[in-house]
Amino acid sequence: MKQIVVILITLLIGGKSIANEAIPYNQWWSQANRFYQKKSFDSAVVYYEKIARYQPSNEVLYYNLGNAYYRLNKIGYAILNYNKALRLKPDYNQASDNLALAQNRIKGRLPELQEVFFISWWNQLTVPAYASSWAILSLVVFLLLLGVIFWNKHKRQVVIHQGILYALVVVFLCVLSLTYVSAQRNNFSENAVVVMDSAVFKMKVSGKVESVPEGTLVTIERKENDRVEVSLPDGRVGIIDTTAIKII
Amino acid sequence: MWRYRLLSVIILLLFSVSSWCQNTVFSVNASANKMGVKDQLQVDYTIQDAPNLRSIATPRFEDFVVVAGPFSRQSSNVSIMGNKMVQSISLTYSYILQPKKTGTLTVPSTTAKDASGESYQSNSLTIQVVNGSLAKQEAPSNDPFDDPFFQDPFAAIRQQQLARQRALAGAHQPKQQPAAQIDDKSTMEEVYKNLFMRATVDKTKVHVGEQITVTYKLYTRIPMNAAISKLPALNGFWTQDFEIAKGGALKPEEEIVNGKPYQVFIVKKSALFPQQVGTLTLDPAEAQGTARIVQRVKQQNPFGDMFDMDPFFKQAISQMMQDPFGDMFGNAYKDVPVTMKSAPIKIEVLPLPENGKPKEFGNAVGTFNIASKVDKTKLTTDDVLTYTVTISGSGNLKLIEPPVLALPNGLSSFEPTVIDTITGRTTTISGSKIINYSISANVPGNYELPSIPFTYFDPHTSSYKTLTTEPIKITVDKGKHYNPKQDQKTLIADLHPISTKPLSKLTLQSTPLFFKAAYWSMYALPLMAFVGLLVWRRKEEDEARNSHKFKNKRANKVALKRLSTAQKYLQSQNHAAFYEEISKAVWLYLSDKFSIPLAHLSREQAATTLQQHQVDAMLQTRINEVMNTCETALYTPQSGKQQMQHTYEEAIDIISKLEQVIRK
Repeated sequence: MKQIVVILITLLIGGKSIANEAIPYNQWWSQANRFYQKKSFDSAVVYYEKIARYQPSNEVLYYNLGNAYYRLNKIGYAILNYNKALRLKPDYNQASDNLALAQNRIKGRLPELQEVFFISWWNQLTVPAYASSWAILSLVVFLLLLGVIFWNKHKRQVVIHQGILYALVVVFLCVLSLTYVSAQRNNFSENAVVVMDSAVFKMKVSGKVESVPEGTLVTIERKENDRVEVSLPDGRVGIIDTTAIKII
Repeated sequence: MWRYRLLSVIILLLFSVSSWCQNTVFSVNASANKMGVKDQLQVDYTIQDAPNLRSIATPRFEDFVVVAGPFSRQSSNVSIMGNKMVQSISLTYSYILQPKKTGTLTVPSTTAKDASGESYQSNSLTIQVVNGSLAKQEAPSNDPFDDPFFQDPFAAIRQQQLARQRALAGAHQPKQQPAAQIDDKSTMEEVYKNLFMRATVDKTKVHVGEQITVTYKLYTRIPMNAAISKLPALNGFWTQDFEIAKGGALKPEEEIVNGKPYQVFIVKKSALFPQQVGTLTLDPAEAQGTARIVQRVKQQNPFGDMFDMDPFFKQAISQMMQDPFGDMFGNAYKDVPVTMKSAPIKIEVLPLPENGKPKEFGNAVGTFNIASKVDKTKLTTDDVLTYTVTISGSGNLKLIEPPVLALPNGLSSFEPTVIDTITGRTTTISGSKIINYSISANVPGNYELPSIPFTYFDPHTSSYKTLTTEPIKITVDKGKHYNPKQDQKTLIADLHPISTKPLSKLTLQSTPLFFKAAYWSMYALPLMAFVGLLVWRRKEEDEARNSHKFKNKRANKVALKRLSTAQKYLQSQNHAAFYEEISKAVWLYLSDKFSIPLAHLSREQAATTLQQHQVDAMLQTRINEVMNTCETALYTPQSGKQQMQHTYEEAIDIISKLEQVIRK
């Protein structure tokens, strides 16, 4: 039984690994690292991107790629890749340090709105990386709930109090909704980074055209064909060209 | 010999006069002056030495159709006229024309204007156009009399005369002269003795990055006209050219070589900074042009063989005699094409000494000074400070790597911008390298920009020298956008290094669990199991409850059955059987009613069960009485019919009463 559970869990969590042995990603990886250490960062980027093309869920890859872009002075792409790494592993301190360094080099950086504390809590709780943890937790709570109900039925009398049962139901629903939100965030990233230098940004309300510095983190509100409605860190909402941004 | 001299002086004089009085020349030349109506004609409008040229009016070709053009080309030409070297720049507009008709047609003149408003008018040409095409007829032009190399005395003399006349007519058209080729090797040797190019360097053994000055010089003793056709590539060097007097005339220097005075022109003077160790070769420079040489007419000495001449020749001689500048002494001159090439030079480049080489050495070789300054010492976290480091002096300025700033934590700088300016080009290449570092502060506070060590190699003393700048104190205040949360993160001075651990297993990003069927099946399976268990239990319980109910229901039936049998025994006066039946009816009734197995049922058990079911005491004593009666009657053989009837009625009454009580 235990083995079955283990197998099931690994089946569920572990995504597809690169099955094709013909992809020499480890060779590219060491080559890229060698280029990086030889300071030929543009060649390093080429090899890192070769691996990144398969969109692996490997935070170290994006972290190294971010470093290489930083050295090439491509701040937009550096910030994009650090964010990708942090999306996979929110407590990746080296990535967040380097991200801060990179953000510091944004020319004319926009001020950030301070989020209300519970919104930032909520956002931290529903980080995409937690999606599978939440999913498993909700499954566990569900099984616990079933067990309690069953136990009560079995004993023909109330062994565990009804109040606890209701609390468990509430907890289950909460965890389930957290699971849903983080899964949703995992599946569709709502954040993007401006990778073009002084991208054109047309404000939604006034229609004024302004430029957004490279490296700015924006939130995608709505997508149209080649234009995306985004909100800037300072809260302004407007339309930006799809080519000017890259989704994290 | 003195005649040669005199002649050349006269010619030189003429040249210089003509070049003085006519600086700007605007002329039109055609490729032929006679042509067929089917042929095409190339017409070149050439303006020479027109400074600040503004516009050239498009010529109005009335008799011609423009097939192609205008094509413009620019050429520069260094020529020596008299004791001056003149660099002339000419601009040519070419048209390919097709005549519209036969006859004498005119190639029109046009005007050019320069910035000062002065306009220049070109000449016009007349072209004879005949029917058909002349191109074919001209092709086999190997007529011996047309061949300038044909050893025909008339032709040779006519040729020389023509050439001379043209030369005298206008020095501004030197190129038009047919270049007479001289096969005679000894003549060419003579020419190259008087005209050659040399490259000289100030040293041939240097350190990497040390300046070498190379000078390409043209030595001449004869009038010539040359342009540099190939400049040395100078691979392996960083080159910076010295200034040679701009555009205009250059005064030649006099230099004595092998006892003969030469006029020397500096063609190119460059500072070279070798960039690699080893033996490097300076490529030769090449110049091509024409030299005008004075030549004795060897074939026929007009004076020597005067009387042997035929009438034609006499006429030619007399013509020559009439010529005021003619070959009075039987000399002629020729324009010969010359190619001059300097000899390649080998330079030995030594590496810089390794001992005593400081870590921060950035390839600087020469003599330098360093200075630093900031544009402000007080700033906020929103501002950017410009820290300027100026390295000035002479040497390989451009190759110096900008020094690395070791900034304290909290300050960060971007890649510096570097501006190189070369100011002095007289004897050494000197100038300055201005390095601008943009520094921004993340955390308010007092900082010190550390002193920058700068090391250069001094080739004069063959040693490394290190200069340092003064440290600068700056104060940083909080800015508008200062975010204390952010600065805690940015305390690192540089990026964390990359991770080089091999990627163990590359997993692809997959859809989250929530959107996977397998995940939901993990819910569904236990849920189904749970529901299944519940249903199963329910069914089992139902079954159990049903048997209980059935027993309960059956109780009355059994009791009644027993009682009816008892009634039969009452009628037949079967004393023992009657009481047994009554006793069984009561006991079985109680057993079924209260789901107590008959084996467990005793008088005490029955009493407690009845008590539990809150049967009132009266009924309980009546039950007991009936039990007692039954028990005693079993052992007392005789009892009346009356008694039996009473017991029978009592049992029925008890059971019906109990039924009522339990139903409640």
